[in-house]
Amino acid sequence: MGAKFKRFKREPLLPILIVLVMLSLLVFIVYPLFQIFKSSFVTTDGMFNFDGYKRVLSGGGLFTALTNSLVLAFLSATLSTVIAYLFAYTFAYVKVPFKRLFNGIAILPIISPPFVIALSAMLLLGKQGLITKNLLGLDNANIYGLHGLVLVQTLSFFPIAFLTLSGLLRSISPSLEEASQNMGANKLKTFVTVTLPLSVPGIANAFLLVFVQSLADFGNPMTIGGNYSTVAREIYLQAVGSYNMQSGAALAIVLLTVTLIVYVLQKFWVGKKSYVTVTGKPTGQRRLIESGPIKMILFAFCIIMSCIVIAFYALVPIGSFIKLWGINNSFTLDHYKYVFSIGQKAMKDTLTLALIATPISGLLGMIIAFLIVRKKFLGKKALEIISMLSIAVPGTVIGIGYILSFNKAPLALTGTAVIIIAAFVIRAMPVGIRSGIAALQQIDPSIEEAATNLGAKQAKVFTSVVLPLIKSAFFSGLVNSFVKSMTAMSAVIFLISAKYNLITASILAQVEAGRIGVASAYCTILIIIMIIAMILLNLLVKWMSGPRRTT
Amino acid sequence: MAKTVSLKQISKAFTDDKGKLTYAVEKVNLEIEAGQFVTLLGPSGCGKTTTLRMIAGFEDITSGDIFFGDENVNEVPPNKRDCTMVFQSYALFPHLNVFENIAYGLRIKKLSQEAIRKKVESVLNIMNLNDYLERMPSQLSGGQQQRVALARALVMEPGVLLFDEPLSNLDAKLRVVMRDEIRRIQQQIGITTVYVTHDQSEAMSMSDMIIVMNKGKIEQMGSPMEIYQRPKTKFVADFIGSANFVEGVVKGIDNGRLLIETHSGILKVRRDGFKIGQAVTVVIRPEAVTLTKGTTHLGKITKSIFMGQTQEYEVEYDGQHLQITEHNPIQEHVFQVGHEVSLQFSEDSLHII
Repeated sequence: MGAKFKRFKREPLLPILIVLVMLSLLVFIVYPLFQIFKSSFVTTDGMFNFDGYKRVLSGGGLFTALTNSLVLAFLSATLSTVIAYLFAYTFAYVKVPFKRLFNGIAILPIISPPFVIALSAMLLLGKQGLITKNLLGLDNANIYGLHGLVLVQTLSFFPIAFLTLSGLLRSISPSLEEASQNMGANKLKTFVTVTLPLSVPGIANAFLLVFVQSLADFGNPMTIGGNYSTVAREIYLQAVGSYNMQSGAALAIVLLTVTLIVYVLQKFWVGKKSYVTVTGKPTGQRRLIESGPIKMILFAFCIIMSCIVIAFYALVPIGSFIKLWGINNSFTLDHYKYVFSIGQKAMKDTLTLALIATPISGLLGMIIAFLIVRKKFLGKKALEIISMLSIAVPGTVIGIGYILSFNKAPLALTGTAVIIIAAFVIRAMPVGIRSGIAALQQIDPSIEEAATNLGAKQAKVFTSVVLPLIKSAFFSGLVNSFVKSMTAMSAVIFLISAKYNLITASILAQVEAGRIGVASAYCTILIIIMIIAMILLNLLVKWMSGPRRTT
Repeated sequence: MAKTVSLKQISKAFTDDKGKLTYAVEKVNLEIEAGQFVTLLGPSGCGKTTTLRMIAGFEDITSGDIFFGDENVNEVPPNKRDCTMVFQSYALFPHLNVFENIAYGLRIKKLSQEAIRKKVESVLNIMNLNDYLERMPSQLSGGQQQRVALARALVMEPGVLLFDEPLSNLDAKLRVVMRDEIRRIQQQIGITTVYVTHDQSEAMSMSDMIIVMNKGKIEQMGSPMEIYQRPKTKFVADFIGSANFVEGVVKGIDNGRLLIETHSGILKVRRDGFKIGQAVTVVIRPEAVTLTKGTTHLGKITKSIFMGQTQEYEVEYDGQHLQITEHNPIQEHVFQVGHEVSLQFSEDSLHII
């Protein structure tokens, strides 16, 4: 005890920091989840019963939403994984031109606002769609519903699967496949008996990641779900639409349970099964497939997919200049005029709040990562678990949790900027924590000890050694939290008020009112803001690291 | 200024998963004179690195006291202790160039730009690193990185210099070069040095004093020659060089030589301090035996390997296999597997524990 106190006196910063971090996670993650749990058993008049769960599981509309979500998630995850595997395989095994371009296109949907693809789907395949009406001459095409959702989610989420799979395929040692060929197997046999089995854990991993994303998806079901109701949407409608908090909370708990199960499955069961060990040593160069039908097929596939993605992205800016898509195709700036007058406030609010949330979540992510990787303290395990599981908490769940928790004293935060910023930070932070942990684990702890040994204090060690070494993780954490905050919807849709409106909510309102042109203009502006912000952030980081001191 | 270091009854205990207390280091006492080069030697897990890290302040001590000179440093945080360390992985700051790596500690001390430049330059001269100032650590070879790590520690002019297996990442030839260089610089500056290694040839060639550790305790300490020639325990005899052990009983004393009765005859050993009737273990170094075609102490060759400088034999003798080394083997005199040989023990080289 005495020794611990002395250490506290020596380094008071660290314990204070730990307490602050723990407190903020408790207030903004654990407490809201607890509130949902509690509310799911309590009626509006304060009675305790199981009505909420009865409604969810009794086979009515809420139960349909649950099964719908699972069907949708299964379809989207399967399709995404197949497409991502083909892409990733082409990258790792085939010699094709434009690899960088394909790569950029494949990860583009990760950073784009959630509506872009849904909007384009309407413009392309809707009732007035470019393809459906103009090309195919269909009069009554309907993009709304399961098929539209599968299309849109697949295009939005296959990049997540792609990143997982391409990392895995690249790290399979070529010598294993060479050994197989050396023992007489042909290329197909080698693929079926070596490459494919080795990539099974990665495939399962990718599938589950997309599955969770699809379950938690809010934006797409809201825009093109049509009559196909899904869980995330239903939670919102229950809570905000019909103000049935008990049912909403019960549904949220069910959704949370499913995503947590899938996440734990992905993390511990599939994760453990991986055969590939990442050593950081480059494996030998793989001999790429240079010709033949396989190459041709895969190359054609990549080109077609890229064209589709590009088409989906090009259409939104185009649509923003068209008066009434499919009916009156004349050029207009009206949508932008509208956005810059009525929508100005939403843009300003979003930008301000995102700019405040970005550094907080970036720094907090790195600090939590540092605490988890390098420090020993009471409650560390809890911190690790909370920050890890928070990745799996769907935005809608956070949203309903926040209105349940922060509506009344002592934490009456609803309607304030604080609550929206908190939601931004909590939603963006897990990714930052994860990349921070990955970056720190690469760094030999004795480098920090060396700094201490040469006289640096804790804070100095962190700023002069740790931070510069995890600079790129920190930077990508900043970019990620800015992008996430600017495009956030599922959690914050519960929290907006007359005082603070957000672009994403405005887009949703425009889509619901059928003003696709205005929605497209909002989206286009959002994309432009994000591109500019990323360039600025990049320059800022370059300027901060500055020219190296030499004398 | 070189400082003395003393460890008084220091222990480091961990509680394992089952809540059991285990000692990584247990009641270690050690007095290191100013300017002395002391090596902590032992197998992995013996507590040598933990001891070093307690001296540096990276591990809290469970009990005991550590002194630098007259100052008890138990409560001095690691960044305020007057000792610098060369790490096993070198731990160079990958984002700083050679100059900045070496200057890091001086900048923490807030020395003037001019003073920093002077100090860094003088240490660069000693280390032959003048041409690499601007290089990043990733652009240096292993040996150069090692030098930078040493320079970074030396430039602080610490009272004590610590090394944690610094040569284990270098190839065999470079290791010999670097160990000579470390010893040369240490002698030149006259700095108190604590060096951790599991490599006995490093320990032998560099140290004024070797501390052999095992299971958290000191097995033996002494000069390299003492440790090799007069090991106190089987562990030390076996760990330093290689050794054969033959059990026996003291039968008599003849002219200052002990007569040890073993299963296959009497061995004569020039040692004292043992009583007649006492059970003892005779330590036989591989080079303490010569093989001839005589008739006493007969054995049979079970292995014979030509190594260049030496011929390595395994001889079945007294129901056990002895390792025997013959230097400068000459082809005609080499025994082959199956040959009967006579073992001649050099009575000055045998040792008893």
